[in-house]
Amino acid sequence: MLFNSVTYLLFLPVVVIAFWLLPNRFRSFFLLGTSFFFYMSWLPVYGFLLAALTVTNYFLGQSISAGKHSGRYLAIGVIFNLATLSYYKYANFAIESWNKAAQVLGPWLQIPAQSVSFPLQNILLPLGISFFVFEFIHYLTDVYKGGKPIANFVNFSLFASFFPSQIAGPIKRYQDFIKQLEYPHVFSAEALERGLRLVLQGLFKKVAIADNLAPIVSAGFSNASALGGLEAWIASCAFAIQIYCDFSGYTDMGRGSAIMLGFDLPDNFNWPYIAKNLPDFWKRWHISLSSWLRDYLYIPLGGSKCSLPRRHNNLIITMLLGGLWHGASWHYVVWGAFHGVGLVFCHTYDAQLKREAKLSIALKKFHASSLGVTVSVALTFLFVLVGWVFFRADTVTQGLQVLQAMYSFQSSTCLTESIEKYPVVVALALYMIGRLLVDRFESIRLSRDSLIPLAPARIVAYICVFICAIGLSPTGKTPFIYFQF
Amino acid sequence: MKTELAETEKKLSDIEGNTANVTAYPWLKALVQMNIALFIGLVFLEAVFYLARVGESDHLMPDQKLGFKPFAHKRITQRNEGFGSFQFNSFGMQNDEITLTKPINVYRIAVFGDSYVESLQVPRESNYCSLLAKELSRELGKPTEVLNFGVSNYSLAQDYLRYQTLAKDFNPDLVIIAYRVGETEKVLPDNRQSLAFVRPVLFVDQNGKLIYNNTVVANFYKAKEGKRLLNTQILREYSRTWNTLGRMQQSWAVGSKDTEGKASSPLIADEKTREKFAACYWFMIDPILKNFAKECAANHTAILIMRTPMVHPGEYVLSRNEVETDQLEATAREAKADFINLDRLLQLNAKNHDYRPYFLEGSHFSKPMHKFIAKNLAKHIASTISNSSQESAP
Repeated sequence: MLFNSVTYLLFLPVVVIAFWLLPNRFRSFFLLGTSFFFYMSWLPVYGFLLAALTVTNYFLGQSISAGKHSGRYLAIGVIFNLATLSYYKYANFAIESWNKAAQVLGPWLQIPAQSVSFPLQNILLPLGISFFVFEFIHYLTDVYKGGKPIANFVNFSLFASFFPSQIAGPIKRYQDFIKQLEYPHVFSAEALERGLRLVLQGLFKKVAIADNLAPIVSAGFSNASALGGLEAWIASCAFAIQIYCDFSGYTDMGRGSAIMLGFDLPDNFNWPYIAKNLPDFWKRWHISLSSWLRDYLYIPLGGSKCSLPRRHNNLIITMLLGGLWHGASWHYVVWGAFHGVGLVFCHTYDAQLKREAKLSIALKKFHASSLGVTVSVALTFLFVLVGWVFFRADTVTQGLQVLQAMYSFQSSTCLTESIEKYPVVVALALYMIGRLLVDRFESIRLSRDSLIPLAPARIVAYICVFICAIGLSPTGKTPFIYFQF
Repeated sequence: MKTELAETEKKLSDIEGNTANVTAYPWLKALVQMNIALFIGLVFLEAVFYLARVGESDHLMPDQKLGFKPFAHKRITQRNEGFGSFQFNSFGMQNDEITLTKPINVYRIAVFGDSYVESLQVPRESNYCSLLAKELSRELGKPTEVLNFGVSNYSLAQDYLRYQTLAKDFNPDLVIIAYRVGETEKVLPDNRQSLAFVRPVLFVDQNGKLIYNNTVVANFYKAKEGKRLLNTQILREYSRTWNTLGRMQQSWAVGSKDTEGKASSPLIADEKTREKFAACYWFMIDPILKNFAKECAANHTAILIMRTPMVHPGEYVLSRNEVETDQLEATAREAKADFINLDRLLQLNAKNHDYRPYFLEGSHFSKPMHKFIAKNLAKHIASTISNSSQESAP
């Protein structure tokens, strides 16, 4: 069930109304049922996979907390979860890479490539598996570190399957989630409205902006070899906006849905494109994933409390695996490596600044000035943009073609029709007015709230935003980009 | 001083009284606020949709005689297949504004057909009517006007009725009938409850005389959907929000997939059946073409029947139907109408029989096809004119 589908827009109000009408003791059961219904509406059989993973991890968590052989149980748990993820996500990637290597090396080693090749498997990636597997690993690790396990099986199952964060995160921390389950939920009209507002904001970002940019990006990347300089920049920038609006739109809708049910999910984005440097970008982009990678990969590898070369090594390994987590494809690996190298550069620069005292004062002054901030933000965005080219491209070669086009002076008309056809400029302008003017400035927000102080007027305003979002959306449903991860 | 105090007290008591009135009717306050919000909301939506050119795809209005026709003066934006944004002229034509009286020394052509002539999928300056006007002006050495009378989903009968009710007043020098082999599907009365299928039928009696039958039209406008369309005509014409809501309702309606399927897929299953069907029902098409040609001749207007290429949506294989093409050519000959087979010309011209560049995803003509048609038509018309002037010379 897609958040931007009619089914979900009918499903959510029914669930919210029923949830608040039910006595508190039945609410967890109800949410668990609806979450499995939500998941199984896509492919029922994968509901059993989710259930099996939940049961196994529940018992593994109990075994780890029992104390005896806890390290062994943790290892079993991590291997079990990663093996499941690898089978569904990386089996074909491994086979394909092996077969390609066999084709190249076979004649050299005088072995016929066909004799060592394997056929590709017919495996359909279960939705959200990358997200809930990471949640399970976090749970087992934290329990191993002394955290209190979740005793109630229903609560544990709900932590794993909670529908607002089931398919594409945010990757929850069990301590925060379980705390919210332990206290009775109290209905709040203010929270309901806040949730509704987030759902609408997410819907607008997804259907009015991201979906209108998708064909422009698609036209650009599919014609990579024919792209001129300007259009290559347009396609790349369009993708940077598309992926932000798509993913943060999903997160807004998920968080909004959760708030309507009385839950708070962690935020995943904080104006990532105004980051001043790459480490700052990763504190603002997909926050729940970057903090997961920091806590469960970077720090266990040694983190920053080791020698400089080892630290750089850890950064690159973390980012490489972070890239591979996004998809079983070499262009994601290149994207991860690119960010890894960027982070290493930033850390080296910082270390150099600390060493050179005189230079440090001058540069710190520059970085603090408005010109310095502008330059830093622009350079960071430029770096992220180049990274997005590899992320969006179907292959590394295609990514290189787009990059090459970005630095050429040729002109092309591959995007003209798409730009003319989709009302993305109006949608973006509306969003900018809404976010930058209203939400960033307190005085405007207050005057907006005093202009429409009553519930009936607000309901009308929300309906208008909804009609506006749907009206500006192109025909046909487009799934969220992060669903494939 | 005392009077001032008393006045102030009076004012204060008035204000209190008013407040009491409002708090006594909180629902009234809510209702007023809601209506104001609704008004502002609607204005906001209309402005946004106007700027974004959204909610402008609905371009047909009910017509008791023709079944339906395009709105006059309406701005239309089409995004389903290709992209086009136009202002229909005051006669409800996909044309720039024109005068009813033909300017002196202008060669005027009227083109009839369905959406393939109307050409909402490409910019107006790129459709074959506009290109033909340019090409022919150059070839003939005098200004040429090409009037686009194409209307989405129009049948041959509706083309003829549009000629009678509107086009003949423009005194065209030449009438072009664009004929696709899908025409046979529009011959019979259609009972689908959708405006695009409300077509009158021209039956033929034993003497070859056409009999206008508007049963389908009358029934439709008596039924629920027809009444709804008649009652909401102003909203459909002017409100982009209304049209957007209509689009939302359509795409969200239960079973909408079935309706869409029925509307877009051909009624006749395959090419063989189509050939048999065409052979059977030619007795209905033949007299319409002949009467059309006869009336044109009576108005001193030449007529050209043009067989245009056709593919099915998503396929890029030409729909051949030689039987129908042969019958069309024979009818043209008997009606003393000029004939051009663009389908055959395309087969000769397309590289490796790859027709992909000539058609859009939904089977409408792409820019290269419009160019191809205009070029060949201009050549054909210019040579016909020069031949006839040579024949008429002493």
